[in-house]
Amino acid sequence: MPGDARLRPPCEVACPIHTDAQRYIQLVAEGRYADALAVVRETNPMPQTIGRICAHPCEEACRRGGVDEPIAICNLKRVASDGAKPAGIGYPPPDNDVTAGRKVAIIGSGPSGLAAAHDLALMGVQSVIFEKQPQAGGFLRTGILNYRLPKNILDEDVDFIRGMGVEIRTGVAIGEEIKFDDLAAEYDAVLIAVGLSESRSLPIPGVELPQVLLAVPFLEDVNAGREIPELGQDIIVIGGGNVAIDVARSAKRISGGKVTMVCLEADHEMPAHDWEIADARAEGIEMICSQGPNAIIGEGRVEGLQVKKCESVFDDNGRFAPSFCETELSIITGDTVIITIGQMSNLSFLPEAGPAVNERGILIFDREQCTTSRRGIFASGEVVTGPGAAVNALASGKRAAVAVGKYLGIDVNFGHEPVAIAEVPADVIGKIKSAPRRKMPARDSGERLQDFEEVELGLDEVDGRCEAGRCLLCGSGARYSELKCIACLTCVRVCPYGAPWADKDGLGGIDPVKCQACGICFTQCPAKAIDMVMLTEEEIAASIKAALGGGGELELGCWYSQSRVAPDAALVALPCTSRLSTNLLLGALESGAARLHVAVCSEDDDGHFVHGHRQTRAAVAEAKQALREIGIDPELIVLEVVPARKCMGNSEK
Amino acid sequence: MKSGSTLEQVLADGKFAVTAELGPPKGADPQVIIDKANILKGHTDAVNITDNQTAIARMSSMAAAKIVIEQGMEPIMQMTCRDRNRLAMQSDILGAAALGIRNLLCLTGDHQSFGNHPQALGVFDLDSVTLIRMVRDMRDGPQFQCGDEITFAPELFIGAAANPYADPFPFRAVRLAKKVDAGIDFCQTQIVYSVDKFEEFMRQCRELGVTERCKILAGVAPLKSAGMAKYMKNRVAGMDVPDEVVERMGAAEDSQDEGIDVCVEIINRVKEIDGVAGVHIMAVEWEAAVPEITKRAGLKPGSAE
Amino acid sequence: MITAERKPFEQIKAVTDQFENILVVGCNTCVAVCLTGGEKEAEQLASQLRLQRQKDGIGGSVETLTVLRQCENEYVDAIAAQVEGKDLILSTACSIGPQLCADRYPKVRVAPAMNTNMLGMVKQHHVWTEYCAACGDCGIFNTGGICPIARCAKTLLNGPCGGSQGGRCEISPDVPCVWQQIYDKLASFGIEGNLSRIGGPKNWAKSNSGGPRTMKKEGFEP
Repeated sequence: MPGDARLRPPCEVACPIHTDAQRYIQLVAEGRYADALAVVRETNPMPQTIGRICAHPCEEACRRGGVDEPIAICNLKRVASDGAKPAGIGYPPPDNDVTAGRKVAIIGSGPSGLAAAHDLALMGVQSVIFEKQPQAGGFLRTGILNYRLPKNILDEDVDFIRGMGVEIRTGVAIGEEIKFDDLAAEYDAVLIAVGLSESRSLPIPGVELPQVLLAVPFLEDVNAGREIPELGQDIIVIGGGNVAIDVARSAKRISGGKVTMVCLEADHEMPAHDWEIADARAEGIEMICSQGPNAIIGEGRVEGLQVKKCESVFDDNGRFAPSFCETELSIITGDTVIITIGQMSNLSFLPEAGPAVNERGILIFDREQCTTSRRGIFASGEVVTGPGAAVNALASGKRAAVAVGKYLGIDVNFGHEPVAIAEVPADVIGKIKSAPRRKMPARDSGERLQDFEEVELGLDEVDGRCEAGRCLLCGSGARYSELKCIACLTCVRVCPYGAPWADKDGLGGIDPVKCQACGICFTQCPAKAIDMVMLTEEEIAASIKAALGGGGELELGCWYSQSRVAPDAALVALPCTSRLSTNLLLGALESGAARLHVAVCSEDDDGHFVHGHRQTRAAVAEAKQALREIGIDPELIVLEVVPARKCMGNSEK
Repeated sequence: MKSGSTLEQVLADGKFAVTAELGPPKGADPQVIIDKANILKGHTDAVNITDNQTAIARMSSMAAAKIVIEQGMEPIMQMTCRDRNRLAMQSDILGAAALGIRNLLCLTGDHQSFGNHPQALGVFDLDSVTLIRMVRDMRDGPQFQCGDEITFAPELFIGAAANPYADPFPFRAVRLAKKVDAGIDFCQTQIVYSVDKFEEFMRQCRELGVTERCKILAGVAPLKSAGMAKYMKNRVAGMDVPDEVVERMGAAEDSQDEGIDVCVEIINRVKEIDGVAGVHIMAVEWEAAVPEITKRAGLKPGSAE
Repeated sequence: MITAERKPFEQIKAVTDQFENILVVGCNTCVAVCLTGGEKEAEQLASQLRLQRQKDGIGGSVETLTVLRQCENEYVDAIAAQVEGKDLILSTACSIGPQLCADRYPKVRVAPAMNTNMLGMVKQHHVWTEYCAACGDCGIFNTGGICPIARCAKTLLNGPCGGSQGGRCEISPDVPCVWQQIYDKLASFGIEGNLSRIGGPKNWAKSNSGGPRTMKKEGFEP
């Protein structure tokens, strides 16, 4: 990207793997799904999976949130991969020879292990992943259900990584069939990525009753399609996290009965994602908050759960230290209890020789270098980070790959942390046209409980492009050359958002925090000192030339428009036709255009950039006058008004 | 006596002076001037000879003034600042005096864009005030504007225009006072239709002592038609024509006759204003109206009332 | 700044049609600031010329480049390589630019694409108004910081004339009477009485009327 020293959009910074969300969103807006997917793949080895289940911290950071609602960045990733599929999701070019040289053993085929293998393959290092389960994917496979992440989708992502020359041996448990030390001896490095595969239990009376289940074995059974005879009709799920939600929703589907979640946290502090809580509630799952498990009651079988009032969950330092009112007890009736209070790793395979664990049984680990206490042994993922989102596991695995690569003498470096651009200032927020976030269509809440088929249906093309059109293109707007700037104040005067500013000495700068990338200043600068970070003048001129191929008619349209104004003409789409200077229009004619159709919003339906259409109109008028002056028919340039309701934020659905 | 002109004598004697206008032709035929002079002869104390009025090229004021003298009438030569620099002006002033011209009206001049040669350079080396001062110094120095001595002083009665109706109104009497300081002996005002405003202007002039040092002739003009009244009201800069006058002209059967009556009424009113020393009748391309006006107003050249 | 307006295309074409290889040279100072002759506008003119010449079947070439300031030897000299082989330099600078080009490139014909019109003040975006006449003898302190040479149609020093009405000049209702403005300004300071003093006559010898002027400065010489 040009201008990499610039401040980055906060979505990219908040993303643990720093995916260039802005770019792939831009490409989705243009309908270029394969290109969008390629951008995602630059950082993300499991785009389809992440596009379904990501915790999307990018959306929390999205600056659009200050205007109305954040961009549905995660959903748009799915739009990209779903949209690219018909043309085939290709494999990366085989420019890495994984057969030459080093080999790395990775224990665990969860997201961090898969990510590490992928990135090592790009470095030319072959990996062999050892997975104790019969299928690859780790907790993505065993812990997340089909209705959230269809198994075929996960398979496609895993197969893609296999296609890079990564070998995955399933059904092989290190420590049993193969000893750890043998592995360490045979391979140039070992990466421990075993995750948190064991459920924690509760030391409370009744836990030994047959209808008391633990989360991980329960989910494994569900995913394997095995019968669960202990599952009754009145199920209590202890826990308030995402896994508990999945346990509850699965139990609901299988039993068809009542499912109640019980957790320590108050409603507002439940650790599960808001959207998961909403999905569960929509499926009729009840949630009882601020209650702690005291005892499981019943004579020979589960009859209920005795709970005590939980007064607080975290201490003053924010650490988990629940306090209870031991006297406020109550009974929740039920016939099944599933304990989903957290997981821990199984490190029983570690030999005497290390790597070592600390007093709490956790691997001793250097976060920076991804190293353990034993040379040549690395670790990544939840086994060392604790519970976290899948995308964090990807980030951890990618970092470990660099660490392993450096260890193997490959010239790689950890990246620099990008710096985010600041929030949209209050005075600019009012000038940005509001548009609601497109809602993810989902199956009806009653109907979807009948099976484990995917609940979310994916944004369709119109919604996807409209949603992508809401992106503010943070930090991708105008930049200027101090050398060429003549401080004429034109940009200061024409900018609708107050981004360029001047003091007594001339132009002080163009503030990227305020800039909305409309391009009006770029078209008006008399000294050609301004260009746009995303989509420079040269790039626009080149696309025009390429689209024309020497002749024919040309439509100059906008990304967000759902309708073509000249369907038979070649098309060059821009963030807004306000980007078109008179020079570009005349240049298009010089490149051989027989006629130019310039799309513009109607006067009262002012599109993404509220003032953009005025510039489009002015540029077209000026270009027509320029043609008149030289005796060429001004109707070679046609201003085509896009019908209202056919544009981002306005499309009627 | 500064110049010995008839006009100066009439005003010095305290008589109510009457002046009129004579526009030179757009050609070289002196007969036009002779004919016009013959219409006006005997009805005025002196007659203005315009200088490329409204920036339309005509025979020079100086030449026409000389022809007027030959007809036994006294001219008031006019000189604007638009067409000449100070060298040409001083040269013409000496020439005018040598030809016997004794009255000179110093004007800024209408902008050249109004006339038939809008592409001409507007000279404006001096403005009316500095022209007046230059003429005064030529007469009383006698010296040229550069300070050199003049060998034989031009004897001229110096006049200027005054516009009681232009803006800024509070400044108008002050500006006339400035011209008096520069050296004018008399002035002719822009056409009076609104007598009330003119009275206020005269009051300010008296207050500034202008009337003691300068003879003020009120400008009057007969309207020929309602159309002319409206034109003067709306299209001529520096004119103030009240609505009643426009209405009267519109309602009249014989508009020319009405126009003369309106003019005579105004003359009779301004005669009564303290400080008004005479009238300047501007009968544009209607010289024949002048005798009728003076007759109905009971004015005779050089007569006391 | 100096302001200039693009000549009607017909006038430009009457010259450019006679030449084969043309270099349009823009200027990124005054004419860029007044949005008529900077890099953007110079490129636009070049584009128009190419399209017109293609339509009219005229061969040759039209190239364009822009210098920071076309009134400086160094900047004009810096484009020698691009001037090489050209028959005509068409300048979108104020008239100083093409004249300097003619000086520095004596073998190449030079034509102005602009009519230089005034020393203008930016009234608002896209509107410039004449504020200075470069008379060489600035007396605006006496007129409240307002210039009657540039802004009075008759360059009066003892205005206003009788044509001032409603604060407007007699030549057009769009033109304010500067002497009304001067009067008001001095009155706002309570010194309108100063206008009773006779001003002038102006020393025109210091203006262009006295001959083309040259300004020199004393001091360190390179």
